[in-house]
Amino acid sequence: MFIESLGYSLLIALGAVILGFIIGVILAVIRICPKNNPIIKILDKFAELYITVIRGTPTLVQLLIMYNSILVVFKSYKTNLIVPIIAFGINSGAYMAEIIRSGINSVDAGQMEAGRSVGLSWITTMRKIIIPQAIKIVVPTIFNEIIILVKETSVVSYIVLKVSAKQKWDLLGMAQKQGLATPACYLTFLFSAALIYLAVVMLLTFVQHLIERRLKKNER
Amino acid sequence: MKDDRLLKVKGLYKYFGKIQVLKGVSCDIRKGERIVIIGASGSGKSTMLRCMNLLENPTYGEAWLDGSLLTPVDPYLHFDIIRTSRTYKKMMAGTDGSEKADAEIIAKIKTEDLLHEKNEGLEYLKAMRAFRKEHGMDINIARQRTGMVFQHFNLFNNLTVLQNLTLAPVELKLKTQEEADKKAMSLLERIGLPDKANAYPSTLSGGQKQRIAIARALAMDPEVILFDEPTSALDPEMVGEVLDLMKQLAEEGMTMVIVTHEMGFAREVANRVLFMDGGVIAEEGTPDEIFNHPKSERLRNFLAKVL
Repeated sequence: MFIESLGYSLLIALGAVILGFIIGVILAVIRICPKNNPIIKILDKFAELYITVIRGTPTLVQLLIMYNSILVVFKSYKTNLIVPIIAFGINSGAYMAEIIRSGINSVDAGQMEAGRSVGLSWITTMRKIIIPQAIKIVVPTIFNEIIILVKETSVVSYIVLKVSAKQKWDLLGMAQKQGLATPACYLTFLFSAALIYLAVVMLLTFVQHLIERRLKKNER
Repeated sequence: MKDDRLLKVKGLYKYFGKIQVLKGVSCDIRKGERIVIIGASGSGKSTMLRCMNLLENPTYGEAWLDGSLLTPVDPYLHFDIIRTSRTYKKMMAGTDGSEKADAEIIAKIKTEDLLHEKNEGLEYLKAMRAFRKEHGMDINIARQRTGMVFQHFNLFNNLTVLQNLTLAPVELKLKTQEEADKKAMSLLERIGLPDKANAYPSTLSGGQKQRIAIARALAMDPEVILFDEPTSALDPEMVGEVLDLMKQLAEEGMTMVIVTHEMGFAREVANRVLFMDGGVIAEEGTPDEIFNHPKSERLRNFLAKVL
């Protein structure tokens, strides 16, 4: 019974990580861009505002706002997994943006100069030279964010999840549901959920070390 | 305006905040010339070099490549443009309109930096735009034709040696991947490092890195290569291999502008030496003139310290 719930938790986390990463890269590049035209200045202000607001409000509040506003727009829906994915993705994007920005900033300025000196444009140099190096630098911090995200998906138990019109539960939601059905074992279910989260995070840490080692080997 | 002047800088001024690094530098570089720029650190030689491909934007002044303007138009260098400005017209109205008054007013406008784009009227803006349109060149195109070699090599750390050489030609659609690979391999063979094609820069010595950086510049078939202290970050035993490669290029007729502290190299390779001091070109001449018959006290002092 926990397997399916774990699946939903991980699916939400995965979707949110992908969305968050894309948002993060875009925002980071906008923020780092030379501010030499008005459109970029406006985009930069927007990125700043986005990061301020998202980092400044609780994830749970964001999730509930997203859930209720989508509820208003689409009166009924059969599957609503997309709501937490978007909510967590938008949330994570703000943090990822700052992580990736710090990574870009720590790449030697000579790399950009070298790219420009052979005639590559700013954006091409970013894409081919700077961002790949920045990503390598921020792998540990990104994984930190992914781990936080995986655990943070447990707040979806505050909303009703639906898949093909049936109500479903995420990992924590399932533990609570089972616990309420058999109050004597409530703690046992919570501990089980905690252990499963722990196992997932340990697995992620393992993957992180694998990736770090692989990236290092690439340079030898 | 076609002539054999490949690179031209005119009236370059550069401020970093309040510090004035360049104080009006002008210089022409002809095809096939090998210019060596010497001078104490802080004399502005690297800044001047970096203005030639706009890695540094000069505060005033212009840089030209092969008859095309790289920098924004500097109105102070074009009297015709100054004459279209409101400031000039206003000042001119109060005089007899003679040539002398014209010259005086232009000089005053230049020295006191009186032009302010927003207040100079439509005719002035039109003149600026027309000049830019006629002579302007996209900086990325200009940089494809101008190689640059850095003090700290700046090889792309995330790419193999071969990819370092092929990225720009392929990305800019100047060559297909096969053509670029072939050219890159022949360049690597030439510098004696074909076995390093698939190595990453972090595994190479400084001398190897710098030779590959030169090969990366050559892979673009540049018309001129700028060298920014190419041997300053090298261990002494590796300086020779880099200088040898540069000598080979010189013999093949490559146009080169070199900022260096290697006086022996300068004497041997340069056909013109510029001595920079305090943000200006203090003296220029053949290596013989500069090293054996220095005219100014400043140059004599400098040479006494470095030779």
